[in-house]
Amino acid sequence: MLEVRNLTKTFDGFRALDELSLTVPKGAIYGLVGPNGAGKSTVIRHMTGILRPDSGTVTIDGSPVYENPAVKAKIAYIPDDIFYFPSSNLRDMRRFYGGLYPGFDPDLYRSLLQVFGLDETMALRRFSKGMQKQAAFLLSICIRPELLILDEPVDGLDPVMRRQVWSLMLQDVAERGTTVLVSSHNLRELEDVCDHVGIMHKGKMMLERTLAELQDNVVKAQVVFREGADTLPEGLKVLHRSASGKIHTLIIRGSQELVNSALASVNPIFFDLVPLTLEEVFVYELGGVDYEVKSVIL
Amino acid sequence: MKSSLSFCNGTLLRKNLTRFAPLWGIYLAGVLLVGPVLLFVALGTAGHANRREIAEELLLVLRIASIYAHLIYALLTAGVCFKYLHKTRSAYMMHAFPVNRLTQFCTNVVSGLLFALVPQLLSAVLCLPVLALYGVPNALGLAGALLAHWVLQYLCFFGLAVFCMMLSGRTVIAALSYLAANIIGWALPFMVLRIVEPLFFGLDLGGSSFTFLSPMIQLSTQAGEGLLWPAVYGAVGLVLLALAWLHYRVRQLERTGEAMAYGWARVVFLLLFTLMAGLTVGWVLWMIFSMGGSIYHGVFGFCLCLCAGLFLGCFGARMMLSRTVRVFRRGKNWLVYGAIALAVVLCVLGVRFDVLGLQRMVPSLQSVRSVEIYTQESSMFGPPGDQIIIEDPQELQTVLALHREQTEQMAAGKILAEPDGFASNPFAPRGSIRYRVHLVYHLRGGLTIRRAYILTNIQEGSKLLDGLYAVPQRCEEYYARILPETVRTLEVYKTDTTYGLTGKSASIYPELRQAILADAAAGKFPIHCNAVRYNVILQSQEGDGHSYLNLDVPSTAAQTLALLD
Repeated sequence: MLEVRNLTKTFDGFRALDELSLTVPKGAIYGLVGPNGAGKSTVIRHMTGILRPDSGTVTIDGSPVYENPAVKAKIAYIPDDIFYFPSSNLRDMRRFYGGLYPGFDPDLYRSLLQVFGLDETMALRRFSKGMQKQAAFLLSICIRPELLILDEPVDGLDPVMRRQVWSLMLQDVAERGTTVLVSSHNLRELEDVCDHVGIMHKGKMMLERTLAELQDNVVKAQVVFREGADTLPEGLKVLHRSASGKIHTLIIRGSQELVNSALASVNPIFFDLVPLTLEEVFVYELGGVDYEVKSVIL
Repeated sequence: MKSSLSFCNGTLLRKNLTRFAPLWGIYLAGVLLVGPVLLFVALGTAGHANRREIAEELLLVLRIASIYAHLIYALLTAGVCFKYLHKTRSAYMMHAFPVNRLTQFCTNVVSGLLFALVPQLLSAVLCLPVLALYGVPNALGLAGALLAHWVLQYLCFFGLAVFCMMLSGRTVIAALSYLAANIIGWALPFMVLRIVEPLFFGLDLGGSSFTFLSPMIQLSTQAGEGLLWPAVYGAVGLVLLALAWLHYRVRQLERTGEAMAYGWARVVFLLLFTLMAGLTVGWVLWMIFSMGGSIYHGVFGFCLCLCAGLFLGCFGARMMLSRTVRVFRRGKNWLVYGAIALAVVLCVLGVRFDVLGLQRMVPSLQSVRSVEIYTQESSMFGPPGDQIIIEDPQELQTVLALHREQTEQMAAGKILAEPDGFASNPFAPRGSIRYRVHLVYHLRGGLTIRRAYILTNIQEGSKLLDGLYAVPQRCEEYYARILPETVRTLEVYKTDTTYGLTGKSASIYPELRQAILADAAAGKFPIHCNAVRYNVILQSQEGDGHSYLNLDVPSTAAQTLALLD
């Protein structure tokens, strides 16, 4: 389990992380979202042991990550801006990763090389951005990590390759129970793969829940009321209400059962409960907090 | 190598050795070429008789030349090993790998050392059979000395380069800092002296220098003097490596890309850069605007130039530190500049107006234990080592009177300070002889005070000095000590306007020596004099080499002149 507790980091007086706490359960796929400058990459750099916290702790299964090679050997990290040694090729990097990570699987490497169709003798700097990402994924999966940390992982990949990368990652999660932390702006993609979500803003964790909790807690209803009877029952917490002709769209906080019975009690002509997308959940849950959050999510 | 206790990571080491093979490969080829190959060619074309001399001279040249080669090579090796710290992507990635900082540091240092030490060892070992082949005695000693010099030089430069790489967050700044560190110990005192010398009446540093702060300069000047200095600098290199590690331990990777990665280094960089650039630019500005005029007389104008120079220096330093040209938007930066400029200007004015009274100070007779006196003339044929030591209270009073005369005349405005830091008598008649006299006081409390003045031969002080230099017993002892028993060559020059060579040869030397000693015993051949009739240049045997001695023959030395006229 990855645990971040009260993590604070200041850069020249600017508080990039402010008493941030988050928990990634073992085997979870955790989506970390937030606007630019929220501190996502900074917290990831603490999780990978790159940066030293000013205060607070980052632990994996109770052991600190910073300056702890034994723990770091369990982590695979793919940054948004990947670094390879100049003039090196995939074969050089394979040797390098093989030497540093005791769990590196050469058989898996060979099989994935076929899947990605990469030339391992070609200089990595000649690879396109997408191919470089593929190479990073290939190397990271092959070290058989317990924790996979991905910063904007599919940025720059074409749709086919995105799907391939996500399916590889999910396959690894399914087979080995790998814990994954993904930082991304693409909520639609996260919705398909994540089971936990954390949203950051200005160095703080604003919300951290499972996807199911989030989606169970807010319901979208489309209702056609009878003439003159559009008053909702007392106690129903409506986050958003809009109307198009006779059809009213309501975003209501509460479980499906609660909303269902409440709407049924006003005897509308028609009503239907529609599942909310992750994007909509964030907009309506956090829309009032700060317009920046809304703008990023939208 | 993979043990958790190991300080060296095999994978990182292998990566360094293979990735940077072209660098150490070129170095290896170079040291083999200038070592055994050059030695083989040089000894092969030399005669039997002088092979030892040739081998020794060649190895000495190699030791000197290698200083500059190692200066650059150490920067390159430290650069390639620690360059990853200067790019955010590489710094973050390398620290995400399961290798702790100590292991990374040690592996990189070992790599850097292997890049040089293996080629050096190979070259030195191959020199052995070459030296043995041509029968050069003490081959092991010669090759060992060469290897020791190379290793210690490299250790010094590599330690310094790694330290600079660690301090900086940018490779270019690290390289510039490294090169500056190699010369600043010489350059900064040089610039300070350029400014202080014209302002401090009687300033004499006694030949002391700060070149030991500049490894490159000190190693170059001491290359033929054994292993002491290389060993000292090698040890300094090790200390710098240890300091580099201490800094690496606490390095904040988010500082990557900044000119200086540590708070104290930013302050030192700001001060040194501002001072060095400020003093240099200020001095150059003064030379341009005053057309090379006297700093002493135009001290306020000079201070303005210094302020302008310091402004540029402070601006440059701040610009590099914050990577923006808008460095003076913050009031704090103006305050720092103001404080530096004020401190420098106060120092300059303090020296110029002798606030501490050092320039006017003449020691009391009771406080002086002895005084060393020696003169230094502008003529290249000035007498050598005309140093005398005065301990007699009567004579000490004479010296103090001479000193007092100088300070009083200066205070009365009868002597004007000159740009070269000494003083002259503006009323001295044309053609009067000027010479520099150095006074080194050894006080009873253990302190030493040094002063230097320019005298003209018509001054009262000069006459006092002449008296001290002409004491018969002192003169006889002096010349008996410095005159060799035999000489190889002898040349006598007339000191008239023609400065012509007379036809005298070494055959007259025994008689000449007797005549000089007789004149000295009679007080007619003083240790130093201004009325010179002849210059005598003697070449004598000294060990394996030879030495030269220049003598001024005064117009009072009757017996000597009888031989030379």
